[in-house]
Amino acid sequence: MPAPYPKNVDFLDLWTEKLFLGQEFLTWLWLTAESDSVFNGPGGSETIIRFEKKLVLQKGDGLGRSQLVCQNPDHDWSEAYTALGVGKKVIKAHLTMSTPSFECAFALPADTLAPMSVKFEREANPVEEEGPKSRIGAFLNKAALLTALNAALDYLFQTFLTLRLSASWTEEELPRLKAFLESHLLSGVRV
Amino acid sequence: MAFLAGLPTISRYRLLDSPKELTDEFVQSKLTKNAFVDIERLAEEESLGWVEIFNPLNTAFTPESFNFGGFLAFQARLDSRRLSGKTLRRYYLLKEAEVIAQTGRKPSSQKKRELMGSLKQDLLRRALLNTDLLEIIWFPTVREIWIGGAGEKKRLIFEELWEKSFGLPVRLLVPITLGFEMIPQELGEALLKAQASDLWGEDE
Repeated sequence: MPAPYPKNVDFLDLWTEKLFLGQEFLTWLWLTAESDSVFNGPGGSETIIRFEKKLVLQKGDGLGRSQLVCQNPDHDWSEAYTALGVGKKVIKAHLTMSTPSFECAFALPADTLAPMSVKFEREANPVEEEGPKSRIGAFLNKAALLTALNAALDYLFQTFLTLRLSASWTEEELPRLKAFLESHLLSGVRV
Repeated sequence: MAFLAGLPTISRYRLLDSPKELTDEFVQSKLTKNAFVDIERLAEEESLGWVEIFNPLNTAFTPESFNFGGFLAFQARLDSRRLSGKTLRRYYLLKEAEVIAQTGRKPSSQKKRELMGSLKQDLLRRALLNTDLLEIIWFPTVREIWIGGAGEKKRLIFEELWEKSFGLPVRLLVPITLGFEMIPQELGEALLKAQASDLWGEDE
């Protein structure tokens, strides 16, 4: 039975208070994928995650907000590692996901973890064929692909969350992530 | 259509309560009752209602237009037009000049209100409409709803029309709400009390 949603708690307050969950998930996914891009997906399937092109890190809110957008086609994330080391948090990432049933590129914001601007690589082109049947077929196909993408994202988030709420988060995962960062940071930057 | 032709962006909702009996007739009646009403020739600032998923001009809502087997799909359509204060002021001054020319004096405050009211109606009818479409996909078996877009404005459009039409409570799926669905009951308290990790460095 899943955990009950807390009673008498304002949704917006709780969402704001726990924004770090999405930020930590993206950070965990990113740093883990940099070491090994293969994750377990739904049903034991292989899910390959790569962080591509762009990573947005931010510190603070409102007027005091400081944001860094790392555009990185060569996977050199040293600027992003440094930003992480001085307190900026990953708020949005552009990544690719490859599974046995689909490949896609998309953006993932930390606040909702709902995919944005999803581009599927192995998708029948809906505009080449005309007529209502092909249009409905393309629509059903897109809905099925998005369902599979959400299932894969949910599975990864659940994996993270299980780890995050267990003792091995502080005993193993955090030290591993910190060691990874330290080994990639420029000398003299605190972690 | 973002889901069909573009690169889709979605926001996810959980339906917290299901209708007693989800039939085509039930969905059809809710959609029809809250169907989009055209305001092209009316002096209305905005109109929000449902239209068919493949045809934003159609509100017939035959079952085959919204029931796709595993899910239901339709669109929210918001037509709106805006009249700036500057525009209204410009035309009011012209109208006021006409009144002064006819009567030899400035209109009273009562007359001014009437002139402003009728002018606004007239100008609204002449202003061009902007149309926003928001695709909705409803998966009844898992009680999940997607809207084709992100951001507060789109979420509010959906939430307002959904509540008015179906009266069924929904909750946005974000990390914390997903979290409560994903973890076992005994970890609920731990999730509620969880604090940010000290992975990140100190202040710059």
